[in-house]
Amino acid sequence: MNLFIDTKLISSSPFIDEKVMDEFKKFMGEEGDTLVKELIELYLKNTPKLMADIENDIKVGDIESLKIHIHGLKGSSAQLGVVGVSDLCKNIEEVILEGKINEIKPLHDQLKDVYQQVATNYQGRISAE
Amino acid sequence: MAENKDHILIVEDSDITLYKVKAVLIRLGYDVTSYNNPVAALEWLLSTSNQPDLILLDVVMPQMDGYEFIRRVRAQSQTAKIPILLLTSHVDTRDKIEGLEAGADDYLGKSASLTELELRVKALLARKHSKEDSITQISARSIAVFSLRGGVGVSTLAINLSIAISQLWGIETCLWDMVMGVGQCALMMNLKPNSTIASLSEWTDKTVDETILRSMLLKHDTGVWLMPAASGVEDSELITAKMVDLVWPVVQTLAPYLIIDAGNHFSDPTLTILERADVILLVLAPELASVNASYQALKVFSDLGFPTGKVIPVVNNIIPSSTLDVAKIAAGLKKTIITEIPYDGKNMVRAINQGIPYIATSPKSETSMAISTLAYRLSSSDMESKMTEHSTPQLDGIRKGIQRK
Repeated sequence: MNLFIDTKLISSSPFIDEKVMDEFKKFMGEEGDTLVKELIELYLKNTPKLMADIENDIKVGDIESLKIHIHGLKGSSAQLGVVGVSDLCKNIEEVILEGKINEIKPLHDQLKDVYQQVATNYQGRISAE
Repeated sequence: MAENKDHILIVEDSDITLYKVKAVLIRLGYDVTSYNNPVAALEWLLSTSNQPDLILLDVVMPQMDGYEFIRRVRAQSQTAKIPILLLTSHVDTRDKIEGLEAGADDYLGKSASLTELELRVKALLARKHSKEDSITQISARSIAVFSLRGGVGVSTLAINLSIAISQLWGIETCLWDMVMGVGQCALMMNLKPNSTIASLSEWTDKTVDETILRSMLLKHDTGVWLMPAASGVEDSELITAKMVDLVWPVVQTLAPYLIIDAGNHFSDPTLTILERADVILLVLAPELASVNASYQALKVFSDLGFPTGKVIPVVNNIIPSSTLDVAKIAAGLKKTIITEIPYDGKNMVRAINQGIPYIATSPKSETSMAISTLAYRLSSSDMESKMTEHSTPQLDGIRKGIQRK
């Protein structure tokens, strides 16, 4: 997967599987739009802290803590269909499991970049409403 | 959408997942309690009177993982039977095994569709309510009669209590002789066993059906069905805790009341019975060794986390007179003694020798009256509401006697 597509050119993002939130919106009926917006706001509010925790875990070499934070980010991203982030988290979990510690950093760099693009996309949607 | 108001607890450390799953369950019409911290959730769960009907549980959480959470929930009698659905992002075989071993009922991947979430929740709740309904219909109640000291009349009380409950309400009862190797209930009731649950030792199915168990029962003309003890050392060694677990759910369906002669020593099968029974009648004689044995048994029950009210000491006067009165015994055990069976040694021994239960040979004695009153105390909360019109001279006498007190 090419993770470096310029998402500013399109309203949707290749890092977001829209079907996930569409299913949620449909399931929730008339409250769907409001709940999707609240969920995105919650994601934008909570994720920077998680990203900072991950940054710090890598900096101090705390693998156990990194596993928990990466797992958390993977799960919350998957709930919104942010597959770009959740897939990278999964890749990081795998390299940790395989003991390939030196592969964490490049994946983490990609993670930061992808999350930034997703956050920009989401912020654009919220401010457009 | 669902009209029910089942109560679901969600324990999930991700606020995002929690928010989404909670919104879906509320939309489906459920009452929802949620925690993003398993330690706080467990504290609430073990103290609330508003127990949930189902728990949705995350696996990977920093404060305590889901498997440990399940173990703690299963270890407490008030929460042990709540169904648990694990929400997990990686569902490989190892995770499934660990979850099942810990006591989870089902799994759901976090990437599963909302429809699948809805269906799994409904299925687990339906299974739970189905079990509750079947218990309500037959009014199952299980009473284990036990002592840590032999010769205090455990089998005699178990037999006569089974008959007393049967005769009070005109219903059948099931008596399970779990005194392995030396069970005497069949002899004392003049019945001859054909087969016992020892024959299930090579049973490989996960369940055993009612027909198999019924074929082992011996009918006594007092309305009691006896499940005889495994005879001899070889057969009794075949009885395991696993076998008790296999038999337990079915044996409760055989009659409205199940009375178990649980014998006088702790073994894995006996402890399994004692843990599962609604009530334990702890039988003791008014002599120091018996009181001491009862004290030790109460300590074990406490260590195992049995609720205090589950264990009821019963003083059985197997000797004509004793310097140890009930007040002293109660003080020694730090437990209230609500039942004392009067001495009638000569008639008790004659009944055993004749193979006719005591309560049938001396129905109007003080001792029989005490056993019948105990039977009433144990069964009236269930039976009085169902059988308000039911009346016999004996039952009416006990009702009046209880009211006077």
